[in-house]
Amino acid sequence: MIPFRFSTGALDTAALQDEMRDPTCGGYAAFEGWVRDHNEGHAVTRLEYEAFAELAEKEGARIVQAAIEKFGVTRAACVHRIESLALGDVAVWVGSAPRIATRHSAPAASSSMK
Amino acid sequence: MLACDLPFLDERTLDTLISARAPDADATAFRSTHDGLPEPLCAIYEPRAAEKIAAHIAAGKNCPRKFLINAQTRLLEQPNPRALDNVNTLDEYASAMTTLDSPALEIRVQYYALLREQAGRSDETLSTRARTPRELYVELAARYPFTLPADMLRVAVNAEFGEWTQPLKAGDAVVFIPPVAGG
Repeated sequence: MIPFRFSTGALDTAALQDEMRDPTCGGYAAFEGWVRDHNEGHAVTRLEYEAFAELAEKEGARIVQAAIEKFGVTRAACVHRIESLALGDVAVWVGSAPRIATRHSAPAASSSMK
Repeated sequence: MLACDLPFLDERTLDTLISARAPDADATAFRSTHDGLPEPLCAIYEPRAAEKIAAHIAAGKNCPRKFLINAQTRLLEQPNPRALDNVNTLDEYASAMTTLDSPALEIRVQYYALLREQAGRSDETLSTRARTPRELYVELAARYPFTLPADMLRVAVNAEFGEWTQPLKAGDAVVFIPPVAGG
C-alpha cells in the first residue's frame, strides 16, 4: 500500500476500500473530495489538476504518516487524480482503517493535503 | 554598434547576435526584455542601411529605435534578459557594481499551473545573480507577467519546501508553488 499517490482515470473506490482491509480492523472510513460547481464566487465547469509530483509524493506520504500516528489508525492512504475533471468527479480519496471506528482521521488528512 | 554602459553584457549575448546576423536585412538587433522594442545600442547595422539612416536623420528623426522599428530589422530574443540593462545614474552604477561582485548561479526553475501559463514555459535553466528564492522571484516577475505576489506562493528547493530567504546554490532546482484552488 502506497500512502500517497497520484492517479489518472476514475478512482476505483471499491478497490481502494479493499486496500484498507485488515483483519485487526473493525471498519473503515473514507473521505471523497468532489469537484463542485463554484470556487471563491466563480462558477466552475471543470478542474484541471496537475502536480509537482516529486515534492507532493514525499509531502503526501508525511501527511498520511502523521495522520496514522495522530489518530492511531492501522492503515491510511490517499489518492489524488491529476487530469481534467468534470463536476462531481472524485478528485481525491482518503481512507483509513482503525481498530476502533473513527470518522476523524480521513477528513483531517484531506485538509492537510491542501 | 555597442553602448559603453552595459555592465551585464556577456559573451553569449554577443555570440547570439553575431551568429544570427542577417546581412540581407538593414540590421540585426535584440528585442528589449523591458518593452519589446528593438535595442539599438547592441546591434549590427549593415552597409545597405547607411542611406536609409541618412534619410531618417535628414527627415529630422534622430531616434535609432524608430529607425529599427521602420527598417528591415531582424529581431532576436535576448539569451540573458539582463544583458542589456544599462547604467544611467550613480545609484544604478553602485547597484550594478555590487551585483557584479557576486558570481552568477545556474538555477533550474520549473513552473506549474498559473505560473507556467504566465511564463509560457514549464521549466528553464537560467544564470542569475539572485541569492535567495525571493530575489529570484522578483527577477522572474520582472521578466514574465506574473500576477501572484510572493506571499501567496510556497517555494520548493530541490523538491523540498524551502524558505524564501534561504541561500541559493549553483545547480539548485527551484519551484514556486501556486495556491491550490477549488477544493
